[in-house]
Amino acid sequence: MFTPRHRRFRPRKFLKLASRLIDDKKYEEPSRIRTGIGRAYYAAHLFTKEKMERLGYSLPDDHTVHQSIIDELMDRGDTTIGSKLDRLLEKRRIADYYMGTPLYMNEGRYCIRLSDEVISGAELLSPKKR
Amino acid sequence: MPTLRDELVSSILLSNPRLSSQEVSEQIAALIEREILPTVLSKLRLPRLPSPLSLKQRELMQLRYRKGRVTDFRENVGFMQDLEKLRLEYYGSDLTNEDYYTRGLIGNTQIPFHQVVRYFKKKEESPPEPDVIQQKSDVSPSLDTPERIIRKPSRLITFDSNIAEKITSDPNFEMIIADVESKIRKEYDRETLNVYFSFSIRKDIVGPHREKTIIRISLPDCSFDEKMKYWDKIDADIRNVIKTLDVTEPERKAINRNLFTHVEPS
Repeated sequence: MFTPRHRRFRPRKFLKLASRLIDDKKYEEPSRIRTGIGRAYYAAHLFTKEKMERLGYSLPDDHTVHQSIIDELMDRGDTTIGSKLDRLLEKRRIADYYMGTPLYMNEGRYCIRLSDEVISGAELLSPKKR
Repeated sequence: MPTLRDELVSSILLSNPRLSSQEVSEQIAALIEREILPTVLSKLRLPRLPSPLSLKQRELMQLRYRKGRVTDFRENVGFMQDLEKLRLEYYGSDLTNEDYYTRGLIGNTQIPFHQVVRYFKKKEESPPEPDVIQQKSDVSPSLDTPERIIRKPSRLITFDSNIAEKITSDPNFEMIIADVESKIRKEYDRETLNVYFSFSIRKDIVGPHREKTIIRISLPDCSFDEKMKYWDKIDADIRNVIKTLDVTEPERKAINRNLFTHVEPS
């Protein structure tokens, strides 16, 4: 179903939520770190995905989309953005699936800033490199 | 008796009477420096230097010898180091054992070789102040009493067991990693920059047959913004190395696709 752009959920809102949540002492620290990392990743992932789709990239509609976006970034030479997104993806997997691996506040804050970096980089992607 | 150079100068002067013998002499010296010396230096095979441990042993043994038996082996070592420095001036830093020859050797026996320590006797020889001045470490007394010690960051680059295994089993992969490692050492092996590189292999969760090479970069003294700047620079340096590899375009694409740089949070 087509949704007009102005009515679509903007991925940046995940990042805003992550940066507020991580400092919100109403919640237990490990939970807000893990959730914050997850939202920070998805903000970067979804923003980049939308941008690449607007540039004409055809991306898969299943779980392989995460790696596909990173691969496309690496292929077109935007390797720093690709590496940063890969770093966030790695942290997100730990945050969501590896409960035995501790995550600290500095890592949470780092991921939030990294997500902002990826979004800033993705904003500048141009179609010409393809 | 006229030397070979005198004969050469006078025969050149015969056909160029306007030049002075001084000018001809200088031109010959310049020609030798420019055309002959670099080739000679590149082909020169320096003798193997003794290990720092055996140097220290010899140094201590000499304290027991009578004056007649004492040989100044430090002079030989110094001469070889000077030669190697000359070679470096001509050919850059890609020669092997560069550290071994050009950094201080004598009196370092208590310190692992990768943690080379420099000694300075005179103030005017000292380089600019390092970020952190470390205390004199607990080493045996050497012939040159150090006034201060600058310690290089240890373990600039480390490899995990998986990548070490792949390097030994895959010559192409070894070539890529060697070139990347060489570039990193050339650009980032600085005493003032606290940086560590760790090479590892990660299996992809989605495609378990796919292996990603991850270069983890740790910059413990840098702010977030500095880390991002270094990240961009290091990544660009590594991609430039990949550009120069002698591989086909699809291979180059695959290398880029599977090699990631990750900067660690502090």
